[in-house]
Amino acid sequence: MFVNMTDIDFCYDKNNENILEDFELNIDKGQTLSILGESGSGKSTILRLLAGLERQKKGQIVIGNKIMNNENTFVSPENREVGMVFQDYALFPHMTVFENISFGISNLSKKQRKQKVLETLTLVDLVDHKSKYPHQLSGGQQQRTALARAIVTEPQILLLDEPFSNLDTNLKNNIRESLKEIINVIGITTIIVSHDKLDALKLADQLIVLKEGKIKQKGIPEQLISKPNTGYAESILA
Amino acid sequence: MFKKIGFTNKWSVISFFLIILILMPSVFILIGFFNPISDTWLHIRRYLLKDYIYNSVILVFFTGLFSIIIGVSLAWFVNAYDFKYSNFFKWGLILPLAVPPYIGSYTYVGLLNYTGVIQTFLRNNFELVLNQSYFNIMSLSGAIFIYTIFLYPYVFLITHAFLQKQSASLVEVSKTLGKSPISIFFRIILPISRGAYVAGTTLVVLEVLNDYGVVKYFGISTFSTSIFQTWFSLGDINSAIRLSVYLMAFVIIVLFLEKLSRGGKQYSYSNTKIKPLKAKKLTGWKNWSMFIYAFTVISLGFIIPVLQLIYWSIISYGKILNMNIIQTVLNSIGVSLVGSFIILVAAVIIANTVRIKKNILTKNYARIAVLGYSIPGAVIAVGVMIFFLKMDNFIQLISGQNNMLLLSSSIFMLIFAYLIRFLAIGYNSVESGFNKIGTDFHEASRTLGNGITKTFFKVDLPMMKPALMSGFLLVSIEILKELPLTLILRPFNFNTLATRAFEYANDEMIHESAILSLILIFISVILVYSLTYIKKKGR
Ligand SMILES: Nc1ncnc2c1ncn2[C@@H]1O[C@H](COP(=O)(O)OP(=O)(O)OP(=O)(O)O)[C@@H](O)[C@H]1O
Ligand SMILES: [Mg+2]
Repeated sequence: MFVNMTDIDFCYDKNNENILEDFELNIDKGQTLSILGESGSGKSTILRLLAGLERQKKGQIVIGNKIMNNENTFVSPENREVGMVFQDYALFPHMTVFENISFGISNLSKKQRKQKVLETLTLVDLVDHKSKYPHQLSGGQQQRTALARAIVTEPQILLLDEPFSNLDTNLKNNIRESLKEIINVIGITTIIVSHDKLDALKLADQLIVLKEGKIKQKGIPEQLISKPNTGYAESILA
Repeated sequence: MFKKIGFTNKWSVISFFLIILILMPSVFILIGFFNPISDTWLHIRRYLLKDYIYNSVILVFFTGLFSIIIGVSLAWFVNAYDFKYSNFFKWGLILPLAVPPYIGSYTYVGLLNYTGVIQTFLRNNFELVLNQSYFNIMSLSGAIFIYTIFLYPYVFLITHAFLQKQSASLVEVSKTLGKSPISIFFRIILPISRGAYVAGTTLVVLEVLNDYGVVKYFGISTFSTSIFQTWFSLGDINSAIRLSVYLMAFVIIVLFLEKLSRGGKQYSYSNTKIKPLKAKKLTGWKNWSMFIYAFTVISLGFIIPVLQLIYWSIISYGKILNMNIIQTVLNSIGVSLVGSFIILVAAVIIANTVRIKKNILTKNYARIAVLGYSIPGAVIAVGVMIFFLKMDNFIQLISGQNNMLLLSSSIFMLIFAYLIRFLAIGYNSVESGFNKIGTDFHEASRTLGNGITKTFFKVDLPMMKPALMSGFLLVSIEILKELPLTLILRPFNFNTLATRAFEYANDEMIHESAILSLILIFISVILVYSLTYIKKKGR
């Protein structure tokens, strides 16, 4: 297993009830997992735990053979090699597209940096927009910038939180296609959180259906969609 | 439970030490409270304490009341109506804040006394000689007038900002329901802005309790003046400490009343787009009466005193040369810049720690950081002085050199006191800056491989510039005007515009004082103006 969460208990405030309880999750290297679930079911929370932005009460998280968080270890987000695309993209408004993308690889030499950013810009088809600021971009371009920023560091896993939620339907289909291509090209292990079963069908090798922090059903997307096991799964996959 | 691994980092360590440092003076005051009681204290408690409490209650109550009436009504008028020069009044009505009340007080005394402009005018033109007591404002009611007219802007400012954001749709709905403007004001505006004007009034009241200059000049005994007196005239530090504790009790009651009267409820919409209220154009007598009202207030709080100061400065022009003005100005500016910078740095460190490490400990950091603003200057002065003397004792002990007052004779002591008193202002600006940018950018940077510190300098800091600038300006204004702390804690022979102006006025050298006051007000006005400029640009 490349990514592995075992026995996770998690809550935001100490006195509140658990958002996740005995949560388990496994992904093989290079696979894409999709998490579907209603609003508030804990999808973003799972990504935040993987990224090290939250820490669980109990359990263990392993990414690529390295223990990220258990009783004795906590690897902070900057050392996890996790690429994350935020729901509202969180593009730094005071930096250009180029600067945003090169932000995570400032340890490289200037020349290497430039070359890598250009490669990635080509991959996401944004070379012409590299000197623009985020507010000068369309929604789809912003989304691709966020994606480029996340993958340019060559992370071990890519986490996408509702990557299409700010886009209209037409654009969404296009971007979904190009995202699929990009993921395939770089062969990165990916987790996509969404509301939309089409995302799972088009992009994912594995699918889990989440409700109140618990996995209701998991398996291969096509199979799940044809055979939902509960009313909830049915409504989510409808 | 998990061990807190990786929970300490540079930020939390420095924050921890800052918080401890900030608490030290209060700790020493509390310890001092258990020192033996002196005869002076028995005397104070038996004969004087009643007066202090009575005077303070009267000053606080009426200043608060009048500030609400003036501040809220003007805030509503400039928001809801378009009258003559109403756009100017929107920021012009803040200007009285640039005049420290102690300067206002001696300006009015000079204006009203027998040789002053008003009585001279009446005598020369109408041969009127009126009963002198009509013109005596060196009384409790005079002090209330002074405080109100120079401090109401706190209420105006906060209420105005609140109404600007919140009132539009409610007012429009009420209009469609056929409500008259008066009933809208009393049934909608007053209740929804309660949180805002209570907050503003609390600031006014805290300023009144902090004040030393006005009451000293008017000869009214309050806690502040008596702390000074017992300590410096009578040399009785223990009684000064006791008075400080009593004054703090008073402050705590005020803060408790604030909490109570805010009613726990904060009316605000978070999700609707802010839509400014369309101001109603006024004509005829309504237009004129609004203009006259606003103009009268701004005249009393700014124009008249400033004109008087200008007049005094002009007629005493020759004296300027031998007054060492440049040095004093440089001292004032220097101490404001350095103090504000240190305060902003401390505020940023603590606020960033609080933001990143959310736990019980850091929650209290936030509370302690804003505590100082409610502690009156005289009390902070007592605490800081004791703290620094103790540290000097300690240094003498380990260095073996007696009679060396390394810290307590240095400018550090004063800057440290500013830090305690004004950290709240810096902290609130920084905190609202952090709230505005949220945590997403920070988190994005972290997942891109940058630590807290690098993220701070590359992402958080550039995005927070406006908030930091306005925090810096706000603190600078306060330090520039500050009197009691500076009077007590400045190093020997170190003078600022505020201390010099106050001392000259107290020695009846009103003309000398006028020049310094005028420079002080001039710098404050520039700072206030830059502040509104930044706010406008930020929008
Ligand atoms: N910072 C927080 N503090 C306290 N509770 C939180 C916080 N963030 C999320 N929660 C709670 O945790 C639960 C799961 O939230 P999460 O954001 O993971 O849901 P989600 O599945 O991503 O929902 P959505 O589809 O709306 O984004 C919700 O009940 C939410 O109220
Ligand atoms: Mg979410």
